[in-house]
Amino acid sequence: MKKIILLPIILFLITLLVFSNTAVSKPPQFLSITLYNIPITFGNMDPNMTKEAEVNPLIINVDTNVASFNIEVEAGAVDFKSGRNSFPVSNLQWNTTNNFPGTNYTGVSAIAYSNLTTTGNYSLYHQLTIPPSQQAGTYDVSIKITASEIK
Amino acid sequence: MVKREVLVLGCMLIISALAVSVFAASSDFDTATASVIINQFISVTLTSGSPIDFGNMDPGQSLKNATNNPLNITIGSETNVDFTISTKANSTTFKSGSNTFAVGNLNWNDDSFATKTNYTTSDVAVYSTQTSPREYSIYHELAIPTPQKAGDYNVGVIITAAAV
Repeated sequence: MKKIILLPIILFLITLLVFSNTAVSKPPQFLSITLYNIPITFGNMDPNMTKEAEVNPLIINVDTNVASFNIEVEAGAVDFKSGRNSFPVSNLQWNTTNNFPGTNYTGVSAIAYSNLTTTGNYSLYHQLTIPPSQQAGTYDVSIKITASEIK
Repeated sequence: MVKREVLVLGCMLIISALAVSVFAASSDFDTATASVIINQFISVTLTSGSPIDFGNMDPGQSLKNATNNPLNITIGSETNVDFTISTKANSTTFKSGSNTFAVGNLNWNDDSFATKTNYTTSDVAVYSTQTSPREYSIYHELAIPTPQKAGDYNVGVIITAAAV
């Protein structure tokens, strides 16, 4: 009877020992991202006009203890939209420095910063070009910034 | 009794697995909205035929076409609204120093062969409710009253493209 009671306890302790080298001996891993200078606003623009964001750059604050990580950017849609009107999100460009042309946004994730190793603030500059003849209106699109540990 | 022990063992293993997952590799994301307000916009350029020139004319000379007809007006591709093109004079008279004659002697039309309309200082639509950015033309002709003092006479012509 005692053996039956002791058996699960022994197995539990064995389980903990198995993971002890990989988990218990290390502090908990964490990776946290917070954006500042948002939303990304361009104010009023005319068709065929190119302009940088009113508050450049977007600040990406990363707090982490992982060894290395990437920061990736992607648009939440393929178009800026205003009711039934739209224009391609690729008219919005980003760059890690204030130099344009940069990289066009798409609906696919792209690496902005790679192999980062330190907690801190990272910059993302934005520039927008309005297509000629684009109908008047208030247009927006969502942007997603992701920090991912490199395994 | 054995079943209960197995249940206890299962719970312990789950707890162990959860403990391990706390230490798993991580990622995090945040989102922002990018927004812009696009203005109503009309681009208008006088591309040729400006200034509107009649060269030399005699007093009492009947209507004469501008030597550089037509006045061409380009509505740029940036234009994002329907629009009307109108014209008017900025004065009731042509002037040359203290000499004048009525601006109504200057006429316009979008058709070079059609009867033309006298200029006034009020806006008159030449092309109404247009939807396509492109080049538009206005033809001008001028008559000189008699008698009229010699001189170089000028008046301002204002071409306006306005959103409908």
